[in-house]
Amino acid sequence: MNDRPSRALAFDSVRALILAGLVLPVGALLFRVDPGRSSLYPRCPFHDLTGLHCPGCGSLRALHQLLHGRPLAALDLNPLLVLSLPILGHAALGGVGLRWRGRPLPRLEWPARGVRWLLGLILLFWLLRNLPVEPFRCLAP
Amino acid sequence: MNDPKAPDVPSHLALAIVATMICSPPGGIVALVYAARVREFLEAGDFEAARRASRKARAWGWGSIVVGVIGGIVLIGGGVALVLYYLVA
Repeated sequence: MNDRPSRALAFDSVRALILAGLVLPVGALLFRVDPGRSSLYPRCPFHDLTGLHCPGCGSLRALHQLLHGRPLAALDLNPLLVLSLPILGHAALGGVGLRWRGRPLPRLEWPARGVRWLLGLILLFWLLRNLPVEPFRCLAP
Repeated sequence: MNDPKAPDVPSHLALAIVATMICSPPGGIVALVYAARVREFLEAGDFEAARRASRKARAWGWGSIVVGVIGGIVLIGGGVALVLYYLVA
């Protein structure tokens, strides 16, 4: 594993630079321009093709609200994205090989039962946010 | 399980979650299913099957991210074309 630590470290810093080079401009754009009022952003192919909301719909608008310090508005737009931000952050930081006290960040691994529960939760969220009935309509963006 | 010689087979769970949440849920869901199967095969001790499922989880995860991002960008292009069409016609 650690036969070439210096090369691995250089590779990791390149990846960290690429991540920062992606995250900082996108974050600045998301802060300045509200995705709910601009056609500048990529559109959701699933929503355009079917008219239904996918589990990720409302993510960009939710991030815009979060960047402006309005967590409740963000939760209203896409609760699943806001709640899964720690996992997505872990995935991004682990993907660029961030080291914590000299060791690479542990890869995200759950037991099979945990993955099945997550799968069920996403599918349930997907279904419920498309129901045009009152208690579930708040899940749609 | 807990076999010290058990190989470290990645389930690509993080990739599957990212794929599902970045607007390509159909492919992301498939990646999640394969991530679950990796863990199931590992827990059952079938490491060869776990490696196969791991490769499929990685392919579906990256594939749906690429499809989602390209699809979104193509739709921006389509929107721009539509606006231009209305402006000209």
